[in-house]
Amino acid sequence: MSTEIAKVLTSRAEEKFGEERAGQLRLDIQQVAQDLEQVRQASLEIDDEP
Amino acid sequence: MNPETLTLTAASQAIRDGHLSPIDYVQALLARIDRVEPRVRAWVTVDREGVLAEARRCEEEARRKQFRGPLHGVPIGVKDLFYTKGLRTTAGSEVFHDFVPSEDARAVQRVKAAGAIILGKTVTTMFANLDPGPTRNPWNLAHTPGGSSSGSAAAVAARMCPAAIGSQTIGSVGRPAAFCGISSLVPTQRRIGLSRTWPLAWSLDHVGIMGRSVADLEIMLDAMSESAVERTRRPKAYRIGIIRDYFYAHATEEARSLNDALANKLGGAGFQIEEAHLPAIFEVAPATLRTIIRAETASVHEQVFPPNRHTYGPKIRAVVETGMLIDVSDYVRARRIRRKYQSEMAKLFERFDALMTPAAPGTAPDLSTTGDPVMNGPWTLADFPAMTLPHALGVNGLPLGVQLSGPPLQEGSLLELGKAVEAVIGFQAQPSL
Repeated sequence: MSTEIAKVLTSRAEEKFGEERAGQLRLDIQQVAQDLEQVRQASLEIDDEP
Repeated sequence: MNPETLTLTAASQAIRDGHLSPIDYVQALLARIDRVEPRVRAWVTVDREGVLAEARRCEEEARRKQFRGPLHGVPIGVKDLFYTKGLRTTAGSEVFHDFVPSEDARAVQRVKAAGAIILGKTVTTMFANLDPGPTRNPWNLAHTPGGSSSGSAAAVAARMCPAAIGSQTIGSVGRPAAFCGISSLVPTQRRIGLSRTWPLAWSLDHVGIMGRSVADLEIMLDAMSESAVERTRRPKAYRIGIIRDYFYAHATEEARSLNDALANKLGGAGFQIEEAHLPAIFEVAPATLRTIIRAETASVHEQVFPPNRHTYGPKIRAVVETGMLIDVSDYVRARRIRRKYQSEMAKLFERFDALMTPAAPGTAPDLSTTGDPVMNGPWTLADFPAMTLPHALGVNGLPLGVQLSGPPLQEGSLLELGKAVEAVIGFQAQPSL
C-alpha cells in the first residue's frame, strides 16, 4: 500500500516542484507514504472522539 | 560571590536581599559572554545597551524595595523565535534577517512583567527544525548542543545566563537540555501562551523553560503560566513508571544502563519504581506526529516559502514540500488518532505519578546533526508536561538526562517530584570553558 501512496505523492511532487526536485525528495516521500499507510490503517471509530 | 555561577533562584534572592546589584549581575554575564561566546556561538543578538539601561532601572527600584516580580533584575535568554519588541527576531532564517517586531511574544511579556531583563536572543535552528545552526556544545565544542533551542541550552550550560526560554514541537527543549547537562520543563501547551511566536506546527508547539535547577524552572513557570500552578501534597512514596520497550530500543547501551542505575538509586531512596507498558496505539504515534507536523508546517510556510525556497535549509525545505503533498483527510485522521492516543496514554497515570525514560538516545552527537528527538516526541504528541534533569556523564565526558513526564496540567506535582529526584541524583558537574 505504501508503494501506491508513494506513487501518488511522487506524481503530485512532480506537478508542484518538477521532476528533478521530486526525484531529490524520493526518500522523504517514501517516509511520508509509510507514515500515511500507518495513519490510514490505525483503528479509529466514530465514538473515539472524546 | 561570582554572579555567573548563581542559579536563577540564588540570584533572584540575592537581588531581593540587596546582596547582588542587577547592574553588577548584567556586567558579569556580559563579561562571561565576551569570554565564551566566540567558541559557543549561542547568541544571535545581545542587547548590551538595552540590558544595561534596564538593569539600572531594576537597581533603582530594588534600592526602593520595589520589586516587579520573582524575576526582578534577572537577565534571561530568549530563543530567536519569540517576538521581542524593538529587538530583531529572525526565526533562524535570513528571510527575517531585518524583522524587528513592534510587540513582545506573550511568553516574553510574562517574564518582563515578572521583572526579567531580556539579555538577548538565542540561536534557533532555521524555523525551529532540524538543520544544524552555528551553536556548539559547551561540554565539547565538537558536539551539537541539540536543537532547535540550541542557543538557549548552550547559553544556560555555559553560564552566560541563568535561565532561558525555548520552544518544543517534537524534542527541541528536552533534547538540548539533556545534551547540555541542564534542566528543562515543557509544560502542557495551554500553560504558556504562544502568541507572536513563529510557529513550526500550531497544534504541537509548546513554550519550554531551561534552567540549572528544578527550583529555577518553578520560578519561571510561575511567572509565565497563564493560570495558577496548583501544588499538591507530597505522597509518602512517589510511584514512577519506567518505560523501557520503545525508548530503550532507540537508546545507546550506555543510556540504558545509566537510566537503569538511576532507577535503582531512586528505588533505594524510597521511590516506588515499576515497569510501565505502552498502549497499543503508541505504535502509530511517530507516524501521527510526523504527519501532523508536515501538514501544519506546510500551512505555516504557505506564503513565505514560494519566494524564498532557495534560502531554506534542506531539512526544513523537505518538511514544507512533503507537507504540501498531504491530503486534508489524512491530516484530520492524524489529529483524531492523536486525541485517542492522548486518552490512552493518560491511563498510565492511574498507576503512576510520573513516567521515566531517557531524555535523549545518548550523549550529544557531532555537529552534522542536532540529534534525534525520538525520546521527546511521544510526550509532545500527548501534550503531557515533560521535565529533563541531568543525571550522569557518559564515558566521553558528555552529560545524559532523564525525562520525567506527568499528567496534563499537573506541572506543580511534577516539579515537586522533580525536586525529590534531583536531590537523589545530586548532579554537580559543569562544562569547563
